[in-house]
Amino acid sequence: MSAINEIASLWMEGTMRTLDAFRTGFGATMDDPPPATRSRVIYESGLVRLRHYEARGENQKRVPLLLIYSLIKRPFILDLQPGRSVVEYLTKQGFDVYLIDWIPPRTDDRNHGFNEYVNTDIANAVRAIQIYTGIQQISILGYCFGALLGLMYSALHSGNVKNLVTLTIPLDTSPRQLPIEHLTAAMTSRSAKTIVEMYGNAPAWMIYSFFNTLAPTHHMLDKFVGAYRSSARPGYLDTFKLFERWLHSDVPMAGRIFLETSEMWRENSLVKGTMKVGESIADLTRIAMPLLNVIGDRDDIVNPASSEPLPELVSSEDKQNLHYPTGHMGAAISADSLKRLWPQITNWLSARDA
Amino acid sequence: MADDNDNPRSKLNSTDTTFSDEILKLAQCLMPEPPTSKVKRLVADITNKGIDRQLHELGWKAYDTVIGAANNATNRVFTSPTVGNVLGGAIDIMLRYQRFNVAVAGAFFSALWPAVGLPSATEVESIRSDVRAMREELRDAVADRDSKDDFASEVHAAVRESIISQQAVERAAAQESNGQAAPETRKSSVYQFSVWSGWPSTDPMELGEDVGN
Repeated sequence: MSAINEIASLWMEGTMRTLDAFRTGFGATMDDPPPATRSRVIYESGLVRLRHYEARGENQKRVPLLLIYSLIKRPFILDLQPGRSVVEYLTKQGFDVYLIDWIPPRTDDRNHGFNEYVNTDIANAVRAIQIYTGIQQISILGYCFGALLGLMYSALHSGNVKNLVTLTIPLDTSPRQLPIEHLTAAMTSRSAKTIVEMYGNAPAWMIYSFFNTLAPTHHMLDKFVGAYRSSARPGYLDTFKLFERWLHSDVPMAGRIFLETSEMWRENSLVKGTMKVGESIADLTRIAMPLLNVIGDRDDIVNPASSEPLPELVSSEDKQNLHYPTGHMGAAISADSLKRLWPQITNWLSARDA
Repeated sequence: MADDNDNPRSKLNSTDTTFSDEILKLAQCLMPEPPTSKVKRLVADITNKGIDRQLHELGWKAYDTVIGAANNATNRVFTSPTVGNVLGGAIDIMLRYQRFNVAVAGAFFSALWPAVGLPSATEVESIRSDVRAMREELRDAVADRDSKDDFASEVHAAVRESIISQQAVERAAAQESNGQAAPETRKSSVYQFSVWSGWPSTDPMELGEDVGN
């Protein structure tokens, strides 16, 4: 009986959270939980707020590391709580970490497309790091959609990038195995245009609903039952609640980039080498820096088969796929990933720090 | 040490018993209890608890199976091309219908609302979303006040200056290639950087080179 009560209580709490988000709006930056790692905002312009997390420890690295997070959720998942924070781990390994904390687009920002995000916002953030550190070439680590943006930046501004790490990148849209791929393919260009014409930007509630529709049983019941079953583990429920906050942290996607993304995925243009960012083609063969492509083998958001072809498309000599048995979010927050996956990433970066 | 309550003899003193209980207790008293029976009882207790645990695990296994089946069914539905086509069409129709409704309502009421001094729903929604964004910005600004100091604005100014310089170079190069004289451009960003305290003494960046002239 107590099990049912506890599950019901967790379910009620979660449902209230969802209803509140629909009522008051998703992903308000004010709803971010307190950060685990101290940061300093060193630059802000356009839709970029650049945070700096100072390296700790004795073995400090020379090359600054820029984290580019996805556009559709708040980035606090990378700094969730002490002991479960990618940012904390990286700084402890001696990396000077910079994070692009995307400012959610307003109605006025509907014309923000790949060109503005890549050639203005990321380019300015990199320039700010160059000015701040006095170092010309930086390492970029992009996560999910952020990896796509980082990849495009690296193709268009390759001289500024020393190393590139892409984590669960949704690149090749030709494989059609996961529900998300079928649902994305089902959305016509006319639907995408109608959304933008109606709302200006792709609304956060729509993005949230889209992802929840993919796994209704999990979001309606199983995650609460799972939380109950693991509640005896120390600290589990705290992490679960923070994770839930992140799940409700969707932000709108600027109208133009939403249209451009849906077109890019429909045409598979980045893989085909026809993707235009501003006036230039994002030609992946211009990427010659060392590349580490991290793939979550149990990823049900980004098909591993979608990330796998990347090394074949770039001209780098030093390139590799790193497969790890984890899911999409697990790559960032699971204790196992922090123990086993991230050391491999930092070792790879450290070996290319000179 | 055994609890007194476990001893059948002690239970004979209890008054709140049925006749069959009394007979059972009498029989137990008449039969001596060897140490092995005590062990057996302990084993039986453990086994009972084991059965509970097994039942518990079986219950969760059944739950996992049902959830797994539900997930598989959902995945099959979403990966079916027919469902995809139907869903895609339905989304499209729904959005167009909604848009049409908004347009009709907007056109119908647009003349009415201003007449009674009220804004349209779209206007209200647009203002609400902007106000929400501004509140967030304000909140962020306050939250970052401690960490974000003059330094951030100096970096901002330096980035801006470097962009302007680079654009000037590109403009000059374009004009030169068209056979025109390059106009006098701004001084190099080096000057801008040199007045900035905390700027690295050595400046290996291309941005710091004399790009202005």
